[in-house]
Amino acid sequence: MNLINKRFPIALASLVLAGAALCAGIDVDGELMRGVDDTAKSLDSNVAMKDDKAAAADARALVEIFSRIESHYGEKPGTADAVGFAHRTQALAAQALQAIEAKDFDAAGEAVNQLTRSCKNCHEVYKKD
Amino acid sequence: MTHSSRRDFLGHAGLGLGAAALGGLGLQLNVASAAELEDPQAPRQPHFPAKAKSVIWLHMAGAPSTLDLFDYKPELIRLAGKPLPDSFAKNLKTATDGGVGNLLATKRTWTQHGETGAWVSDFLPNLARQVDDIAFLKGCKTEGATHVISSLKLHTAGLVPGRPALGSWVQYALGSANPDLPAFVVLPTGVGAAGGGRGAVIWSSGFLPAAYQGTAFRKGDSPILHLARPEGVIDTEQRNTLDLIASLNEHGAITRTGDTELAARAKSYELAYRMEKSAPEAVDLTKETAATRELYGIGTKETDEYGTALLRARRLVERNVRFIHVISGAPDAAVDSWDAHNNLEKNHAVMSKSVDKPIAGLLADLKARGLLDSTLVVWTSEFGRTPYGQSGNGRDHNPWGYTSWLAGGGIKPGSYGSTDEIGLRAQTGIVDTYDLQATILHQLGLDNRKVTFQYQGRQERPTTVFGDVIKEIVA
Repeated sequence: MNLINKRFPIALASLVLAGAALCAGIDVDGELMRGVDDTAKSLDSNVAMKDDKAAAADARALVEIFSRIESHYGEKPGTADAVGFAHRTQALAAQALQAIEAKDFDAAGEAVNQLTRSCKNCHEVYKKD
Repeated sequence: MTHSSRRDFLGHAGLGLGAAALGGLGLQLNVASAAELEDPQAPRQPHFPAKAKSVIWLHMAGAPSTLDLFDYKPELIRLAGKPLPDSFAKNLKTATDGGVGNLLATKRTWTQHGETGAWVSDFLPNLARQVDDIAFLKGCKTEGATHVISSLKLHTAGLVPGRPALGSWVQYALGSANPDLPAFVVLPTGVGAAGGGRGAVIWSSGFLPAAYQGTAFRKGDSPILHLARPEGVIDTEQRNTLDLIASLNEHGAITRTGDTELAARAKSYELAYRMEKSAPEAVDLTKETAATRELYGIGTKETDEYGTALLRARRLVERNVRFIHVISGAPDAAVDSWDAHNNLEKNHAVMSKSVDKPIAGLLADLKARGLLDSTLVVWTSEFGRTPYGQSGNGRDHNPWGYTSWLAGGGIKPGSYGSTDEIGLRAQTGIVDTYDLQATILHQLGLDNRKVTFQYQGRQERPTTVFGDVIKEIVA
């Protein structure tokens, strides 16, 4: 994991903690999503390079953040599909983490592949620009 | 320098390059041996049997309105002149100054063609006769609303400069099938560079070694600038000069083993020497029959330049060039490019006429020569254009829904996907640029997730973390 890769899970975790301290939630905005995007790319790369420690850190960060995103949308009316997307993506990050911990990088790679598809599916609804 | 010492130099330089490349190559790329890495152009095996050997990438720079070419929308005609309905406008973020005008109906006459029944407007009468070889992707979408950003995404899968073009990835993964020509050739056409998104950044090798960048061919008999031997210099003199340069580079390479630009430069001198003969021959259309030249529209003012580029493309395919990127341009100063923010009828009449006969001729010619099965022809643009009007008689940029198409190279003809009733957004069979790129790589025998290059500590892929093969159109 390089320096940039190291920063994003930390930054993401900080963002989550800050959000949690302020309002027990988070702002699902462009900045957060750019961090998610970069962490997903870092995870994909670390799985490809079979760097289990770095990959596990990325996967844990994504599990945490998608848990927060699920809670965020759970409190908003009319966003059941977003809750579903976040839940599925969180489950895929957890699946990737499990595979990484078992050092099954093929399975982890497939889970990451599914995870990025899930991101795209959500953006079909929640990112129109 | 003797042949032996030259081989030694190349071997040593190659080992340096090979070591650098090994550090960068993905673990999953099929690299049989370090010997292959001594030469960045050495042919490499695909991941699985390829359907296509070459790609002709027809980039309609400036973004045509596929609502006036392929995507027939009776509902848009019915609603013409009315404001964009709220049901369609929900969450729409327009990025350019023109705002959202009233819905603008196409003025074209539409007919279904061929056994597939594909709709094609009367802007493209010649291409309409080739639809049974074409797979239309009618649910394309992308990101960004400016030519530069969306063109970068289309060609490099990135929104900012720095990533390699798809042609560079292909060359990196497969090497060259002809040691005497570049494997990735760019054929720009037209006057000016209006519309943006046409510059060298879209055929750059990005973070891949410099040897994989596209080579732009010029118009005329000498396709590469300064390629011809200067007057008054005989072959022996030139050979001696090149040997001296190689010798100096040999010394330079000893302390710069990871310098891919130096290695690429050293290789380029030898390639250029060989290309003094091979490149002019490859683009010498005097060997083509009058009937063939006429098929491409050569000799007719409106189609001459684009037709010449496409006939060159076919000749490059015959010479096993892997990726030929043809960029459309305005045939004269009457219009800028496909970028019809106003006066779309005039713009598209000129632009359609310039490409219609040449593209139809290319498809027919490839088929007649038995080359279409192994040549993937891709017609696409950075985005499409809106169903709502701009400036009264033009259309704005539309990244949400438009049409691209592919032909040959193991692609199943037909129509896949759709936009909504007015052609604003992709609705079914949605194809992002990443998916288009993944599909092209797949037809070349490459798994987009297994072509990797390590850059700044990260395993990079041609389609980033995205990209699904459009299995529905693979024969």
